[in-house]
Amino acid sequence: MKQIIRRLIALVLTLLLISFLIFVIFQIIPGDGAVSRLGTNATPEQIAALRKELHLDDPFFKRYFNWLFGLFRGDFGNSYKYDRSVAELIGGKLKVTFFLAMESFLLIVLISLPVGIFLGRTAKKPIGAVLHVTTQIFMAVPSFFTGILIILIFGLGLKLFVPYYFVRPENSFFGFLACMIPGAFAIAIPKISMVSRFLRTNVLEESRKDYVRTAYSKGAGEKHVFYHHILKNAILPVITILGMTIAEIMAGSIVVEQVFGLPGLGQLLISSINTRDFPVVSVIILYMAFVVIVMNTIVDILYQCIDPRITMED
Amino acid sequence: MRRFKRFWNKRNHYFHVGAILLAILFLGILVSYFWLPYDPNAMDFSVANSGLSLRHIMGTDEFGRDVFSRVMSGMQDTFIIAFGVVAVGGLIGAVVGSLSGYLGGWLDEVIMRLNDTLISIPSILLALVMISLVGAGKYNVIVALGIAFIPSFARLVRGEVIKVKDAEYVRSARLMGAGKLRIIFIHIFPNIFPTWMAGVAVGFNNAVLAESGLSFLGIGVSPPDASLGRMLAEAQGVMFSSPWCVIAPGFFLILLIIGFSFVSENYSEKGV
Amino acid sequence: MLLDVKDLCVEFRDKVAVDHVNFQVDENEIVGIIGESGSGKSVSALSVMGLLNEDATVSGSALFDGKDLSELKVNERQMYKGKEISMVFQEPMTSLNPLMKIGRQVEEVMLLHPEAFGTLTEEERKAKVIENLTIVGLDHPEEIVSMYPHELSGGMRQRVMIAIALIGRPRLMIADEPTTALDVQLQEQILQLLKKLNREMHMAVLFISHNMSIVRNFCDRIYVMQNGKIVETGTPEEIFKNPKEDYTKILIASIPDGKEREDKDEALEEPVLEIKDFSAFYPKKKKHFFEKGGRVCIVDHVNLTIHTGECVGLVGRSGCGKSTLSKGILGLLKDTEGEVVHHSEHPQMIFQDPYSSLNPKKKIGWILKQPLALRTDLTQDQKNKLVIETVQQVGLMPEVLDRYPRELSGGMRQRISIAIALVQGSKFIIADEPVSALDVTVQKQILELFLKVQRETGIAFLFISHDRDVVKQMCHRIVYMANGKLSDEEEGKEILDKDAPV
Repeated sequence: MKQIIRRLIALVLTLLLISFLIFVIFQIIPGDGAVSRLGTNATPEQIAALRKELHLDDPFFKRYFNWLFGLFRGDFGNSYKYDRSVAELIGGKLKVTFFLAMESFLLIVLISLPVGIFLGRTAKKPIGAVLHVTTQIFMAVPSFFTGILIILIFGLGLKLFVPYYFVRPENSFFGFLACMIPGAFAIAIPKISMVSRFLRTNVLEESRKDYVRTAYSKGAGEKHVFYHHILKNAILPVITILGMTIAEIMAGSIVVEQVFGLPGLGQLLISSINTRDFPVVSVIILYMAFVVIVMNTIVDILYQCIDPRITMED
Repeated sequence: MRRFKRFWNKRNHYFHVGAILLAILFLGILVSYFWLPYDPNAMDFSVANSGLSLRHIMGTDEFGRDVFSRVMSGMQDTFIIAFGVVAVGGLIGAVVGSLSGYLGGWLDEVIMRLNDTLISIPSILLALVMISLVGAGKYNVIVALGIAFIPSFARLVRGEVIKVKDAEYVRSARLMGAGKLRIIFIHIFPNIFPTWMAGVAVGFNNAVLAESGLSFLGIGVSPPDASLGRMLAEAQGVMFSSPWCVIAPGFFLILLIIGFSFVSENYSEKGV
Repeated sequence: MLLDVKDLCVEFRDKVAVDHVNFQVDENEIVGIIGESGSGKSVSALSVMGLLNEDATVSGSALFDGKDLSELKVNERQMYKGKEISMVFQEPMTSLNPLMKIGRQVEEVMLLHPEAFGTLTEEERKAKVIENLTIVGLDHPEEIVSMYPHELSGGMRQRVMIAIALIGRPRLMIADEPTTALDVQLQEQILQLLKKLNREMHMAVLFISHNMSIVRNFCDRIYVMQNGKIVETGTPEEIFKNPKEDYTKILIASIPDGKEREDKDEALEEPVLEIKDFSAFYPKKKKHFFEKGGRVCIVDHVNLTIHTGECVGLVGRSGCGKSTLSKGILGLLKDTEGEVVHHSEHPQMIFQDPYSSLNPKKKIGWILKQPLALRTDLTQDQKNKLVIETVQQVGLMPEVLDRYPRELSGGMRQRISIAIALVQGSKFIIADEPVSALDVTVQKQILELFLKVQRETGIAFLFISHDRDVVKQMCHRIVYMANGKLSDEEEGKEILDKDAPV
């Protein structure tokens, strides 16, 4: 319990640190928000008025806390480029990125565990060696290129789906989920390879441990030893790795949305970076970092609950 | 030569395949600095969008530029950027990590807190943040990705330093009166060098991936530089009509990454 | 005849580990196989259990109760494992599954042998688990069944291992160095337990060990193994009174005889080290984030003076604070009180594990020249000469300077550690269990080297060990340590003996 509280305190501190860094990077370093909003032809009076309106003349920490509490109230500020609030701009896109990430994560969990177990069981057979190399090659393919290949092979060649076809969730929620599956695969494939290889390595490492020998000495057969002793020990660390893939899924979704033409946060982020629309950029980055850090904390706590060696230490 | 032979024989086949692959690609890059079949930027609309032929072994793009020449020059940029990124991230990360690990105390606490925070954010996102401030371009990408790579190197080196710093031979070096820097760089570093090298190999792998991702998004290298990722982004529009424009740079990109990952696979299997 | 092993050969790739070995175990008999590391004793035991990896090629036969185990099918052989023949391993810390409750791990034997236990209900199995945990001497077995291995000490885990090996009421238990990883006092308790089980449950024991004195008192019959072969066999009496083979003689000669050191009065009166009222602390683990860290006292007001040419033994069980004290003497600790006065420069330390005490990336020559690097009063030639002389002094050839630590044996590395101290001109050396990681025959050579070096140079030693016989033979004077406190001889012995054998 104390471990969990400590972890939660660390989470809050980390989130504050991140928000502070992002505030400094996007609100302070780029220079005068009023100038970039009005353009260089604005008169000094216009700029001064807008500065006042945006509270840009307030002391540094007051600006930070105002900005931070604004975030809590759901006030994310306004876009420089579009005359709309950031919240409005982000709203609809959030759903796309969220479900795309969820789908990829599900694919990773559902596919990598059985594949990893299979790899571990067949490590000394030719089929295992072939699969081992195959997963390594899959891991080396950047997700955007996987995406391009999926479009070329499964979309254009085999006509299993229509490339660039997007269904709004308002029209059909299942259609919306279905049209993102190819993209989810593009994100998931390298991670599936990574996680299943990690599981394979763990299985091999655990098989060499002393307690496995003890199990054999009790008269257990190979299958029993694998499923009752090795597997649990080997899968446990995979939880941490799965937590770490969340960050990479986020990164992957930015790129893959471009490939498949999915109107998510990634697309908005890139266009906002190109137009130097910092309020939008900062909120999207903050959101992604937030998701990653919170998910990692959840995974950490989950891990502590499962592994008796950690929970008992208190 | 004998040392090289011993080194080579101790590695597994993954390393051999990876190293040979990288050697060939590297040779190709070297040659491409002095000779290319065509000027990679020369347009020739008479042959635009032509498929594979003896004159253009990987076809031409919509402007009639020779895809093979462009791929070779794209590899130059990709390789230079990856090298720069690993140099920046690997060296600074090693210094930060070894100081933090060896000295410990509040310095370590602060550095690691910051490090853990940064490490939980994908490096491509960190790089995006920096590029959105300083703008795209080859050198900006090197700096942005290099900085984004520091935390993972720092963590790797710090972990190793902590493992080694209480080893008995380090203690006896301290008893002999060796200073802190001498202990870190003369006694400890040679022992963590193999791990650091493994990190470098993995770092090359990730740098190529991250750079190509950035360039693919159009915020990596800017013209006239053309890394493989940028070529892919440009070719995406014509991928249905002339797929070779996509396949060729993608293929070489994958070869490069596979080369690095096979080389580093060896290290991870040896349990560095 | 319960177990009759004939012509057993085991090869790993091209290396022969066990070479045409024959041995027998009778009903109710305790048989010892003794040998140094690499002699093939553990491999022989594992091959009887059928626990060797796939890369081992085994030939020969192992008749158990007249049936050849090596000819059984895999699933037929499983019927024997854990039921008729069971095994206890050397490393109690790692031999239990870290994610499975103790109760489950003991109960599993019954689940795996339905032919013997199939009729039991779950409650009966639970009761049987508790019964067996009680037999092996664990208190509160009801609580232990729902604990995980990491919550138990090494000695308790080894008892759990024995309970697992015991629950099928096997006719033969193979014990592979079951006490080596434990403290002396615990060793004795575990041996008593095995003996009790042997008598009360009519269980034969095949006892694998490297420790001559344990085997002597514990076994009915002994096989001596060397380089994969059995060189001699007989009762302890025959072997110890009248050894026939040279190797057996060497083994017996290398047992520390517990004789006291002869030249007891030669120590000089000049102190090299004075420890006055010295205490050392470790930070207490913080309970929550904001708690101010407390500290735990590990070394408690210690006073000790060591004189030139003197060898002082420091004896205590693991966790008594002796290693912390040695670190404190060398100034390697942060939180200390009291005073440590060195009257000599460059005190050196010789560590237990010769594999981690030398920098693996550097050649021996480089390592030995390190302490001289900062000295300006010697020319390069003089430094080289000094290093070569020192290497010869510790009984090694100068060629060794061009080698890496990994190319040297454990004994050679300990010699290098001594040479490092000599090169520096140390007048005081702390030796922390310097021979306990070495084979007995090597142990003897290194101990002799210590004595020789000490007589030649007059270096003072603080010799830390858990083995009283070794210390007696080496030291002018012995101090005992328990719970962070030093005590004089008489009192100290009591502390050591109090918790000793049940």
